[in-house]
Amino acid sequence: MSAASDLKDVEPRIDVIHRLQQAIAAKDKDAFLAFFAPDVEYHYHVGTRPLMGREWVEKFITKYWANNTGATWVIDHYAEADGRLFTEGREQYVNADGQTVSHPYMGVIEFRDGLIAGWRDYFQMADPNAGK
Amino acid sequence: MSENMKVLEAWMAASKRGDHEAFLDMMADDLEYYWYMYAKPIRDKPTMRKFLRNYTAGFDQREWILKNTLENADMIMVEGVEKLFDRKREVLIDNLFMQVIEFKDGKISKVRDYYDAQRVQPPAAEAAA
Repeated sequence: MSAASDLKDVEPRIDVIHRLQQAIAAKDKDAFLAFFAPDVEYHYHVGTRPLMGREWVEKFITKYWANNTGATWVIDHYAEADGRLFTEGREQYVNADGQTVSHPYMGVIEFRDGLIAGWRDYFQMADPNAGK
Repeated sequence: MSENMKVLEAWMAASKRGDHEAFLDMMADDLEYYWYMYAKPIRDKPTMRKFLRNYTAGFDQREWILKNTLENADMIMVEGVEKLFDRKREVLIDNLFMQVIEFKDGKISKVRDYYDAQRVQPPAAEAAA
């Protein structure tokens, strides 16, 4: 059974994202991708060109998981309504240079037919604490 | 419209007309404002007043637009864009942002701003000094 097949319209979106986090923690790429609509528009960083479509997301996540180890995604606050979920949290990981990087962020996740159709994350790309 | 959203709209209106005292009156005395998530927050009104004065000297906030909002209890989360004229560099910036606003007893008590400061960092840092 795919991760997406048991999505239900009535399921709180935050619970869907908690299941997505489990797929990320397991680095289960198939389960991860099953959460996304084929035509998803994914702004992993607002201000940078977005990833258009699930295949592009797959290329991105393959490279991202190869270059970043020990990533922990923490959601501190959220609000949801009408197929949209706003989150506030932080992501911590060790990059390819062995540096621990922590990014506070906020994001918008938009759902359509139970799948993620839009995603926009807001944060500062260049970590001012890196190397300190 | 919720009471908190009414306060938020009044807060934005005070900002747009440059009424810093009205802006501050809508904030709690023990406010916490993260204007930049990698800096220490502002925790009192005199410092907030100074920040507003310096910010206005550095930027002309020509628009402050909320594109999407969601509420959860006494918290409003927003996605929006502000159009800032950087007086020093003489450029107009579209600053895409998200923001958390928390309320307590009808006042704005905590604010956290999320944006890529690479676009506005130099004058913003000066504005906070």
